Amino acid sequence: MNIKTLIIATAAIAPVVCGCNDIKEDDRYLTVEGVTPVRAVLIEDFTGQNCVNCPAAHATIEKLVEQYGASVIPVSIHAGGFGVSVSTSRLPSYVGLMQPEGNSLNDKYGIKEWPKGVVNGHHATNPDEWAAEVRTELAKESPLSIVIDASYNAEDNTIEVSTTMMPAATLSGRLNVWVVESGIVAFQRDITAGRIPDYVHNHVYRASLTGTDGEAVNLQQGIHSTATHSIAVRNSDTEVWNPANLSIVAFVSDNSGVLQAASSDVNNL
Amino acid sequence: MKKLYLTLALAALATASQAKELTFYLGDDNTAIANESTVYFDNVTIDSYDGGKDIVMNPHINIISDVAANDIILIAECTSGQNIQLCAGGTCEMGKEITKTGVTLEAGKKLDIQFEYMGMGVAPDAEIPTVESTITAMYEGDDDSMVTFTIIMGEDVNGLAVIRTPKSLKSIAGAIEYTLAEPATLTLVSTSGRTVLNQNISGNGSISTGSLAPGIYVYTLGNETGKIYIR
Repeated sequence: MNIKTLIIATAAIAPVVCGCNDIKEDDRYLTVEGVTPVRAVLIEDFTGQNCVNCPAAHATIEKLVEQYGASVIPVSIHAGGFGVSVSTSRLPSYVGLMQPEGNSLNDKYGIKEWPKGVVNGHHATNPDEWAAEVRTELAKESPLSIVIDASYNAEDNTIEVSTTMMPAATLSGRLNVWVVESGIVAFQRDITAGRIPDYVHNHVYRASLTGTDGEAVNLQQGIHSTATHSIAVRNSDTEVWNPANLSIVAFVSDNSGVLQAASSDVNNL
Repeated sequence: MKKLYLTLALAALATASQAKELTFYLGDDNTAIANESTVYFDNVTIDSYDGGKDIVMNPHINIISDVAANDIILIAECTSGQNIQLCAGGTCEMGKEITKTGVTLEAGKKLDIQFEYMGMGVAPDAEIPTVESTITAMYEGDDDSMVTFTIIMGEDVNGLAVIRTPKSLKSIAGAIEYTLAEPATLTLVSTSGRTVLNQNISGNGSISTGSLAPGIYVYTLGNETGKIYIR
Protein backbone atom coordinates (compact mmCIF):
# COMPACT_ATOMS: atom_id res chain seq x y z
CA MET A 1 0.00 0.00 0.00
CA ASN A 2 1.56 3.33 -1.00
CA ILE A 3 1.54 6.46 1.13
CA LYS A 4 -1.24 8.13 -0.84
CA THR A 5 -3.60 5.18 -0.44
CA LEU A 6 -2.75 5.00 3.23
CA ILE A 7 -3.60 8.64 3.65
CA ILE A 8 -6.88 8.32 1.75
CA ALA A 9 -7.81 5.14 3.61
CA THR A 10 -6.94 6.70 6.93
CA ALA A 11 -8.91 9.82 6.09
CA ALA A 12 -11.90 7.65 5.16
CA ILE A 13 -11.72 5.56 8.33
CA ALA A 14 -11.10 8.42 10.73
CA PRO A 15 -14.66 9.84 10.64
CA VAL A 16 -16.11 6.43 11.54
CA VAL A 17 -13.68 5.86 14.37
CA CYS A 18 -13.94 9.34 15.74
CA GLY A 19 -17.60 10.20 14.94
CA CYS A 20 -16.06 13.46 13.77
CA ASN A 21 -18.87 15.37 12.03
CA ASP A 22 -18.54 18.24 14.47
CA ILE A 23 -14.80 18.23 14.98
CA LYS A 24 -13.13 21.36 13.68
CA GLU A 25 -10.73 21.01 10.78
CA ASP A 26 -7.61 21.83 12.76
CA ASP A 27 -8.34 19.06 15.27
CA ARG A 28 -7.77 16.28 12.76
CA TYR A 29 -4.37 15.68 11.23
CA LEU A 30 -1.87 13.12 10.05
CA THR A 31 1.76 13.67 9.23
CA VAL A 32 2.63 13.33 5.55
CA GLU A 33 6.05 12.78 4.05
CA GLY A 34 7.10 13.38 0.46
CA VAL A 35 3.71 14.23 -1.15
CA THR A 36 4.09 15.79 -4.60
CA PRO A 37 0.91 17.73 -5.36
CA VAL A 38 -0.46 17.46 -8.89
CA ARG A 39 -2.03 20.73 -10.03
CA ALA A 40 -5.69 20.97 -11.05
CA VAL A 41 -7.13 24.23 -12.39
CA LEU A 42 -10.49 25.75 -11.46
CA ILE A 43 -12.51 27.57 -14.12
CA GLU A 44 -15.46 29.61 -12.92
CA ASP A 45 -17.66 30.15 -15.98
CA PHE A 46 -20.04 33.05 -15.34
CA THR A 47 -23.02 32.39 -17.53
CA GLY A 48 -26.79 32.79 -17.94
CA GLN A 49 -29.70 31.00 -19.53
CA ASN A 50 -30.62 34.11 -21.53
CA CYS A 51 -27.08 34.76 -22.69
CA VAL A 52 -27.06 33.89 -26.38
CA ASN A 53 -23.27 33.65 -26.66
CA CYS A 54 -22.89 31.51 -23.54
CA PRO A 55 -23.41 28.10 -25.19
CA ALA A 56 -20.27 28.76 -27.21
CA ALA A 57 -18.43 29.33 -23.93
CA HIS A 58 -19.87 26.09 -22.56
CA ALA A 59 -18.45 24.33 -25.62
CA THR A 60 -15.04 25.87 -24.88
CA ILE A 61 -15.23 24.46 -21.36
CA GLU A 62 -16.10 20.99 -22.65
CA LYS A 63 -13.14 21.07 -25.04
CA LEU A 64 -10.83 21.91 -22.16
CA VAL A 65 -12.27 19.09 -20.06
CA GLU A 66 -11.85 16.72 -22.98
CA GLN A 67 -8.25 17.81 -23.40
CA TYR A 68 -7.15 17.91 -19.78
CA GLY A 69 -9.58 15.58 -18.00
CA ALA A 70 -9.60 15.87 -14.23
CA SER A 71 -6.89 18.54 -14.34
CA VAL A 72 -9.54 21.09 -15.32
CA ILE A 73 -12.42 21.62 -12.92
CA PRO A 74 -15.21 23.81 -14.34
CA VAL A 75 -18.07 25.37 -12.42
CA SER A 76 -20.84 27.20 -14.29
CA ILE A 77 -22.07 30.03 -12.13
CA HIS A 78 -25.32 31.52 -13.37
CA ALA A 79 -25.32 35.22 -12.61
CA GLY A 80 -26.12 38.71 -13.80
CA GLY A 81 -28.76 40.14 -16.09
CA PHE A 82 -28.95 37.04 -18.27
CA GLY A 83 -29.33 34.65 -15.36
CA VAL A 84 -32.68 33.16 -14.45
CA SER A 85 -33.21 33.05 -10.72
CA VAL A 86 -33.96 29.66 -9.23
CA SER A 87 -36.75 31.33 -7.24
CA THR A 88 -38.64 32.05 -10.47
CA SER A 89 -38.69 28.39 -11.45
CA ARG A 90 -42.04 26.84 -12.21
CA LEU A 91 -41.10 23.19 -12.34
CA PRO A 92 -41.00 21.29 -14.52
CA SER A 93 -41.70 23.67 -17.41
CA TYR A 94 -39.54 26.61 -16.35
CA VAL A 95 -36.26 25.92 -14.60
CA GLY A 96 -34.04 28.71 -13.30
CA LEU A 97 -30.42 28.00 -12.38
CA MET A 98 -29.18 31.22 -10.79
CA GLN A 99 -28.56 30.86 -7.07
CA PRO A 100 -28.75 33.89 -4.77
CA GLU A 101 -24.98 33.80 -4.19
CA GLY A 102 -24.29 33.65 -7.93
CA ASN A 103 -24.32 37.43 -8.14
CA SER A 104 -22.06 37.75 -5.09
CA LEU A 105 -19.51 35.52 -6.75
CA ASN A 106 -19.96 37.41 -10.02
CA ASP A 107 -19.59 40.82 -8.42
CA LYS A 108 -16.40 39.77 -6.66
CA TYR A 109 -14.73 39.94 -10.09
CA GLY A 110 -16.65 43.00 -11.28
CA ILE A 111 -18.23 41.12 -14.17
CA LYS A 112 -20.77 43.13 -16.12
CA GLU A 113 -20.93 41.19 -19.39
CA TRP A 114 -21.26 37.52 -20.13
CA PRO A 115 -19.90 35.01 -20.80
CA LYS A 116 -16.81 35.63 -18.72
CA GLY A 117 -14.55 33.15 -16.99
CA VAL A 118 -12.11 33.24 -14.12
CA VAL A 119 -9.23 30.77 -14.25
CA ASN A 120 -7.80 29.92 -10.84
CA GLY A 121 -9.30 32.95 -9.19
CA HIS A 122 -7.31 35.56 -11.07
CA HIS A 123 -9.44 37.93 -13.15
CA ALA A 124 -12.34 37.74 -15.57
CA THR A 125 -11.43 36.94 -19.15
CA ASN A 126 -13.13 36.03 -22.41
CA PRO A 127 -13.58 32.42 -23.50
CA ASP A 128 -10.93 32.71 -26.21
CA GLU A 129 -8.34 33.36 -23.50
CA TRP A 130 -9.15 30.37 -21.29
CA ALA A 131 -7.07 27.74 -23.08
CA ALA A 132 -3.86 29.73 -22.74
CA GLU A 133 -4.61 30.58 -19.14
CA VAL A 134 -5.25 26.94 -18.28
CA ARG A 135 -1.96 25.92 -19.87
CA THR A 136 -0.13 28.58 -17.84
CA GLU A 137 -1.76 27.54 -14.59
CA LEU A 138 -1.20 23.82 -15.14
CA ALA A 139 2.51 24.49 -15.51
CA LYS A 140 2.69 25.94 -12.01
CA GLU A 141 3.47 23.85 -8.98
CA SER A 142 0.90 23.56 -6.25
CA PRO A 143 1.75 23.64 -2.54
CA LEU A 144 -0.92 21.16 -1.55
CA SER A 145 -3.12 18.24 -2.57
CA ILE A 146 -6.81 17.97 -1.87
CA VAL A 147 -8.80 14.76 -1.60
CA ILE A 148 -12.58 14.76 -1.33
CA ASP A 149 -14.78 12.02 0.00
CA ALA A 150 -18.47 12.77 -0.61
CA SER A 151 -21.40 10.45 -0.03
CA TYR A 152 -25.15 10.68 -0.18
CA ASN A 153 -27.12 9.57 2.83
CA ALA A 154 -30.54 8.53 1.58
CA GLU A 155 -31.95 8.18 5.10
CA ASP A 156 -31.81 11.86 5.83
CA ASN A 157 -31.33 13.05 2.25
CA THR A 158 -28.01 14.74 2.93
CA ILE A 159 -24.57 14.81 1.39
CA GLU A 160 -21.66 14.37 3.73
CA VAL A 161 -18.33 15.73 2.59
CA SER A 162 -14.87 15.19 3.95
CA THR A 163 -12.16 17.41 2.41
CA THR A 164 -8.58 16.49 3.22
CA MET A 165 -5.84 19.01 2.54
CA MET A 166 -2.24 17.75 2.33
CA PRO A 167 0.17 20.69 2.25
CA ALA A 168 3.72 20.44 0.97
CA ALA A 169 4.38 23.87 2.47
CA THR A 170 3.04 25.90 5.36
CA LEU A 171 0.30 28.14 4.09
CA SER A 172 -2.79 30.10 5.02
CA GLY A 173 -5.78 30.57 2.78
CA ARG A 174 -9.48 29.94 2.40
CA LEU A 175 -11.22 26.65 1.68
CA ASN A 176 -14.30 26.66 -0.52
CA VAL A 177 -16.46 23.54 -0.90
CA TRP A 178 -19.23 23.70 -3.48
CA VAL A 179 -22.02 21.42 -4.68
CA VAL A 180 -22.13 21.16 -8.47
CA GLU A 181 -24.64 19.34 -10.65
CA SER A 182 -24.47 18.16 -14.25
CA GLY A 183 -27.09 16.86 -16.60
CA ILE A 184 -29.70 19.48 -15.71
CA VAL A 185 -32.26 19.88 -18.49
CA ALA A 186 -33.44 23.47 -18.70
CA PHE A 187 -33.85 26.09 -21.37
CA GLN A 188 -30.96 28.06 -22.78
CA ARG A 189 -30.93 30.73 -25.44
CA ASP A 190 -28.40 30.48 -28.23
CA ILE A 191 -27.34 32.86 -30.97
CA THR A 192 -28.17 30.48 -33.81
CA ALA A 193 -30.64 28.00 -32.32
CA GLY A 194 -32.80 30.52 -30.46
CA ARG A 195 -34.53 29.23 -27.35
CA ILE A 196 -33.48 25.63 -26.69
CA PRO A 197 -36.03 24.19 -24.24
CA ASP A 198 -34.13 20.97 -23.43
CA TYR A 199 -30.53 22.13 -23.21
CA VAL A 200 -28.32 20.03 -20.94
CA HIS A 201 -26.50 22.18 -18.41
CA ASN A 202 -23.34 20.78 -16.85
CA HIS A 203 -21.11 21.72 -13.93
CA VAL A 204 -23.79 24.05 -12.55
CA TYR A 205 -23.06 25.69 -9.18
CA ARG A 206 -25.83 24.67 -6.77
CA ALA A 207 -24.63 25.63 -3.29
CA SER A 208 -21.67 26.33 -1.06
CA LEU A 209 -20.93 24.40 2.12
CA THR A 210 -18.49 27.13 3.22
CA GLY A 211 -20.35 30.39 2.56
CA THR A 212 -19.56 32.77 -0.28
CA ASP A 213 -16.11 33.66 1.06
CA GLY A 214 -14.98 30.18 2.16
CA GLU A 215 -13.47 29.23 5.49
CA ALA A 216 -10.04 30.22 6.76
CA VAL A 217 -7.47 27.43 6.80
CA ASN A 218 -3.97 27.44 8.30
CA LEU A 219 -1.97 24.46 7.12
CA GLN A 220 1.39 23.24 8.38
CA GLN A 221 3.87 21.67 6.00
CA GLY A 222 3.59 17.90 6.03
CA ILE A 223 0.52 17.83 8.26
CA HIS A 224 -2.72 17.09 6.54
CA SER A 225 -5.98 18.48 7.74
CA THR A 226 -9.58 17.42 7.13
CA ALA A 227 -12.69 19.57 7.07
CA THR A 228 -16.15 18.02 7.19
CA HIS A 229 -19.44 19.46 6.07
CA SER A 230 -22.92 18.29 5.22
CA ILE A 231 -25.83 19.71 3.27
CA ALA A 232 -29.41 18.69 2.62
CA VAL A 233 -30.20 17.70 -0.95
CA ARG A 234 -32.75 20.23 -2.20
CA ASN A 235 -36.15 19.06 -3.37
CA SER A 236 -38.68 21.87 -3.54
CA ASP A 237 -41.14 23.55 -5.88
CA THR A 238 -38.35 25.64 -7.39
CA GLU A 239 -35.26 23.44 -7.17
CA VAL A 240 -34.69 19.72 -7.39
CA TRP A 241 -31.24 18.16 -7.17
CA ASN A 242 -30.50 14.71 -8.54
CA PRO A 243 -28.00 13.04 -6.16
CA ALA A 244 -26.75 10.81 -8.95
CA ASN A 245 -25.59 13.88 -10.90
CA LEU A 246 -23.99 15.78 -8.04
CA SER A 247 -20.31 16.34 -7.44
CA ILE A 248 -18.28 18.30 -4.95
CA VAL A 249 -15.67 20.88 -5.92
CA ALA A 250 -13.18 22.05 -3.30
CA PHE A 251 -10.43 24.58 -3.67
CA VAL A 252 -7.98 26.45 -1.47
CA SER A 253 -7.03 29.98 -2.42
CA ASP A 254 -5.10 32.91 -1.08
CA ASN A 255 -4.39 36.40 -2.36
CA SER A 256 -2.39 34.96 -5.24
CA GLY A 257 -5.32 32.91 -6.53
CA VAL A 258 -6.40 29.29 -6.34
CA LEU A 259 -3.59 27.14 -4.95
CA GLN A 260 -5.25 23.83 -5.65
CA ALA A 261 -8.63 22.46 -6.68
CA ALA A 262 -10.24 19.03 -6.61
CA SER A 263 -13.49 17.43 -7.59
CA SER A 264 -15.28 14.24 -6.65
CA ASP A 265 -18.58 12.68 -7.61
CA VAL A 266 -21.02 12.14 -4.79
CA ASN A 267 -21.09 8.47 -4.02
CA ASN A 268 -24.55 7.10 -3.44
CA LEU A 269 -25.03 4.78 -0.51
CA MET B 1 5.83 53.98 -68.36
CA LYS B 2 5.66 57.38 -66.59
CA LYS B 3 1.99 57.56 -67.48
CA LEU B 4 1.46 54.11 -65.98
CA TYR B 5 3.23 55.07 -62.76
CA LEU B 6 1.19 58.27 -62.53
CA THR B 7 -2.04 56.35 -63.06
CA LEU B 8 -1.11 53.84 -60.38
CA ALA B 9 -0.10 56.61 -57.97
CA LEU B 10 -3.38 58.44 -58.49
CA ALA B 11 -5.34 55.23 -57.94
CA ALA B 12 -3.45 54.56 -54.70
CA LEU B 13 -4.06 58.10 -53.52
CA ALA B 14 -7.78 57.80 -54.26
CA THR B 15 -7.99 54.57 -52.28
CA ALA B 16 -6.09 56.01 -49.34
CA SER B 17 -8.25 59.08 -49.20
CA GLN B 18 -11.51 57.09 -49.32
CA ALA B 19 -13.54 57.89 -46.17
CA LYS B 20 -14.24 54.95 -43.85
CA GLU B 21 -17.94 54.24 -43.82
CA LEU B 22 -20.23 52.32 -41.54
CA THR B 23 -23.67 51.15 -42.58
CA PHE B 24 -26.41 49.51 -40.56
CA TYR B 25 -28.71 46.92 -42.09
CA LEU B 26 -32.05 45.66 -40.92
CA GLY B 27 -32.95 41.99 -40.89
CA ASP B 28 -31.55 39.32 -43.12
CA ASP B 29 -32.01 41.19 -46.37
CA ASN B 30 -29.97 44.07 -47.68
CA THR B 31 -32.17 46.90 -46.49
CA ALA B 32 -29.73 49.61 -45.50
CA ILE B 33 -30.80 51.92 -42.72
CA ALA B 34 -30.35 55.55 -43.62
CA ASN B 35 -28.44 57.69 -41.18
CA GLU B 36 -30.72 59.47 -38.66
CA SER B 37 -33.78 57.57 -39.85
CA THR B 38 -36.39 55.71 -37.81
CA VAL B 39 -37.08 52.00 -38.20
CA TYR B 40 -40.06 50.03 -36.96
CA PHE B 41 -40.04 46.36 -35.96
CA ASP B 42 -43.13 44.37 -34.98
CA ASN B 43 -41.97 40.74 -35.15
CA VAL B 44 -42.38 39.98 -31.45
CA THR B 45 -41.61 36.43 -30.31
CA ILE B 46 -43.61 35.21 -27.35
CA ASP B 47 -42.85 31.89 -25.64
CA SER B 48 -45.61 31.01 -23.20
CA TYR B 49 -45.37 28.35 -20.50
CA ASP B 50 -47.03 27.51 -17.23
CA GLY B 51 -47.28 30.68 -15.20
CA GLY B 52 -45.37 33.03 -17.48
CA LYS B 53 -44.00 34.02 -20.82
CA ASP B 54 -40.83 35.31 -22.47
CA ILE B 55 -41.01 38.29 -24.84
CA VAL B 56 -38.19 38.71 -27.33
CA MET B 57 -37.78 41.40 -29.98
CA ASN B 58 -34.73 40.71 -32.13
CA PRO B 59 -34.58 42.85 -35.27
CA HIS B 60 -31.27 41.33 -36.43
CA ILE B 61 -29.42 44.59 -36.90
CA ASN B 62 -26.21 44.11 -38.85
CA ILE B 63 -23.34 46.52 -39.38
CA ILE B 64 -20.79 46.70 -42.19
CA SER B 65 -17.56 48.64 -42.46
CA ASP B 66 -16.08 49.20 -45.88
CA VAL B 67 -12.61 48.84 -44.36
CA ALA B 68 -11.25 46.39 -41.80
CA ALA B 69 -11.33 47.96 -38.36
CA ASN B 70 -10.93 46.93 -34.75
CA ASP B 71 -11.78 50.24 -33.13
CA ILE B 72 -15.49 50.55 -33.71
CA ILE B 73 -17.69 51.90 -30.95
CA LEU B 74 -21.29 50.73 -30.71
CA ILE B 75 -23.81 52.44 -28.48
CA ALA B 76 -27.36 51.28 -27.83
CA GLU B 77 -29.63 53.41 -25.67
CA CYS B 78 -33.20 52.49 -24.80
CA THR B 79 -34.94 55.86 -24.62
CA SER B 80 -38.22 54.30 -23.49
CA GLY B 81 -36.56 53.03 -20.32
CA GLN B 82 -36.39 49.26 -20.73
CA ASN B 83 -33.29 47.09 -20.53
CA ILE B 84 -31.89 46.00 -23.86
CA GLN B 85 -29.10 43.66 -24.82
CA LEU B 86 -26.04 44.26 -27.01
CA CYS B 87 -23.40 41.61 -27.73
CA ALA B 88 -21.77 42.43 -31.09
CA GLY B 89 -20.35 38.93 -31.38
CA GLY B 90 -18.66 38.90 -28.02
CA THR B 91 -19.75 39.20 -24.43
CA CYS B 92 -23.30 40.38 -23.93
CA GLU B 93 -24.31 43.34 -21.84
CA MET B 94 -27.71 44.32 -20.61
CA GLY B 95 -28.90 47.73 -19.55
CA LYS B 96 -30.63 50.93 -20.58
CA GLU B 97 -27.50 52.27 -22.24
CA ILE B 98 -24.70 50.03 -23.45
CA THR B 99 -21.41 51.02 -25.05
CA LYS B 100 -19.15 48.44 -26.63
CA THR B 101 -15.68 49.52 -27.70
CA GLY B 102 -13.04 47.80 -29.76
CA VAL B 103 -15.58 46.03 -31.96
CA THR B 104 -13.82 44.34 -34.86
CA LEU B 105 -15.19 44.22 -38.39
CA GLU B 106 -13.75 42.64 -41.53
CA ALA B 107 -14.02 44.84 -44.61
CA GLY B 108 -17.37 44.36 -46.28
CA LYS B 109 -18.56 41.59 -43.95
CA LYS B 110 -21.77 41.99 -41.94
CA LEU B 111 -21.72 41.56 -38.20
CA ASP B 112 -24.96 40.96 -36.32
CA ILE B 113 -24.71 43.41 -33.43
CA GLN B 114 -27.04 41.14 -31.43
CA PHE B 115 -29.25 43.95 -30.28
CA GLU B 116 -32.52 42.85 -28.76
CA TYR B 117 -35.13 43.40 -26.10
CA MET B 118 -35.91 40.50 -23.76
CA GLY B 119 -38.73 40.45 -21.25
CA MET B 120 -38.15 37.07 -19.65
CA GLY B 121 -40.33 35.26 -17.18
CA VAL B 122 -43.05 37.93 -17.16
CA ALA B 123 -46.60 37.31 -16.09
CA PRO B 124 -48.88 35.64 -18.66
CA ASP B 125 -51.02 38.76 -18.95
CA ALA B 126 -48.11 41.21 -19.09
CA GLU B 127 -48.47 43.80 -21.83
CA ILE B 128 -46.11 43.76 -24.76
CA PRO B 129 -44.14 46.97 -24.39
CA THR B 130 -43.17 49.43 -27.09
CA VAL B 131 -39.40 49.73 -26.94
CA GLU B 132 -37.69 52.73 -28.48
CA SER B 133 -33.92 52.81 -28.81
CA THR B 134 -31.20 54.68 -30.62
CA ILE B 135 -28.24 52.79 -32.03
CA THR B 136 -25.01 54.57 -32.92
CA ALA B 137 -21.72 53.46 -34.40
CA MET B 138 -18.48 55.22 -35.18
CA TYR B 139 -14.80 54.60 -35.64
CA GLU B 140 -13.05 55.58 -32.43
CA GLY B 141 -11.74 59.11 -32.60
CA ASP B 142 -13.59 59.87 -35.85
CA ASP B 143 -16.74 61.78 -34.99
CA ASP B 144 -17.47 62.41 -38.67
CA SER B 145 -17.95 58.69 -39.19
CA MET B 146 -20.86 58.51 -36.76
CA VAL B 147 -24.04 56.84 -38.01
CA THR B 148 -27.18 56.57 -35.92
CA PHE B 149 -30.80 55.57 -36.18
CA THR B 150 -33.86 55.05 -34.00
CA ILE B 151 -35.66 51.74 -33.78
CA ILE B 152 -39.13 51.34 -32.36
CA MET B 153 -40.15 47.78 -31.53
CA GLY B 154 -43.47 46.37 -30.39
CA GLU B 155 -46.70 44.77 -31.50
CA ASP B 156 -48.45 47.87 -32.80
CA VAL B 157 -45.72 49.54 -34.79
CA ASN B 158 -47.10 48.73 -38.22
CA GLY B 159 -44.64 46.40 -39.76
CA LEU B 160 -41.01 46.06 -40.57
CA ALA B 161 -40.00 49.06 -42.62
CA VAL B 162 -37.27 51.52 -43.09
CA ILE B 163 -38.77 54.95 -42.71
CA ARG B 164 -36.70 57.74 -44.10
CA THR B 165 -37.91 60.48 -41.81
CA PRO B 166 -37.56 63.65 -43.79
CA LYS B 167 -34.96 65.98 -42.44
CA SER B 168 -37.57 68.71 -42.58
CA LEU B 169 -39.57 67.12 -39.74
CA LYS B 170 -38.35 66.12 -36.32
CA SER B 171 -40.58 64.59 -33.66
CA ILE B 172 -39.67 65.59 -30.13
CA ALA B 173 -41.56 65.24 -26.89
CA GLY B 174 -44.82 67.14 -27.30
CA ALA B 175 -44.05 68.75 -30.66
CA ILE B 176 -42.92 68.41 -34.26
CA GLU B 177 -40.16 70.78 -35.33
CA TYR B 178 -39.96 71.64 -39.01
CA THR B 179 -37.60 73.33 -41.42
CA LEU B 180 -39.04 73.91 -44.88
CA ALA B 181 -37.66 75.53 -48.00
CA GLU B 182 -41.21 76.05 -49.31
CA PRO B 183 -44.63 76.25 -47.65
CA ALA B 184 -46.51 72.94 -47.40
CA THR B 185 -49.51 71.37 -45.71
CA LEU B 186 -48.74 68.92 -42.90
CA THR B 187 -51.38 66.28 -42.22
CA LEU B 188 -51.29 63.60 -39.52
CA VAL B 189 -53.61 60.61 -39.62
CA SER B 190 -53.89 58.14 -36.77
CA THR B 191 -53.76 54.37 -37.27
CA SER B 192 -57.55 54.35 -36.90
CA GLY B 193 -57.86 56.63 -39.92
CA ARG B 194 -58.75 59.82 -38.08
CA THR B 195 -57.13 63.05 -39.27
CA VAL B 196 -55.68 64.64 -36.14
CA LEU B 197 -53.70 67.48 -37.69
CA ASN B 198 -54.04 69.48 -40.89
CA GLN B 199 -51.97 72.65 -40.94
CA ASN B 200 -50.16 74.89 -43.40
CA ILE B 201 -46.56 75.43 -42.34
CA SER B 202 -43.55 77.27 -43.76
CA GLY B 203 -40.00 78.21 -42.83
CA ASN B 204 -38.78 77.10 -39.39
CA GLY B 205 -41.05 76.39 -36.46
CA SER B 206 -42.81 73.79 -34.35
CA ILE B 207 -46.30 72.41 -33.94
CA SER B 208 -47.55 71.18 -30.59
CA THR B 209 -48.48 67.49 -30.45
CA GLY B 210 -49.11 67.47 -26.70
CA SER B 211 -52.78 66.65 -27.19
CA LEU B 212 -51.99 63.59 -29.30
CA ALA B 213 -51.50 60.12 -27.89
CA PRO B 214 -47.93 58.85 -28.36
CA GLY B 215 -47.64 56.39 -31.21
CA ILE B 216 -47.36 55.96 -34.96
CA TYR B 217 -49.09 58.37 -37.30
CA VAL B 218 -49.12 58.63 -41.08
CA TYR B 219 -47.94 62.05 -42.19
CA THR B 220 -48.30 63.88 -45.47
CA LEU B 221 -46.08 66.87 -46.11
CA GLY B 222 -46.67 68.35 -49.55
CA ASN B 223 -46.15 65.45 -51.97
CA GLU B 224 -44.34 63.31 -49.46
CA THR B 225 -45.95 60.73 -47.19
CA GLY B 226 -44.64 58.38 -44.56
CA LYS B 227 -44.87 57.46 -40.89
CA ILE B 228 -43.78 59.43 -37.91
CA TYR B 229 -43.61 58.51 -34.22
CA ILE B 230 -45.25 61.09 -32.00
CA ARG B 231 -43.79 61.29 -28.49
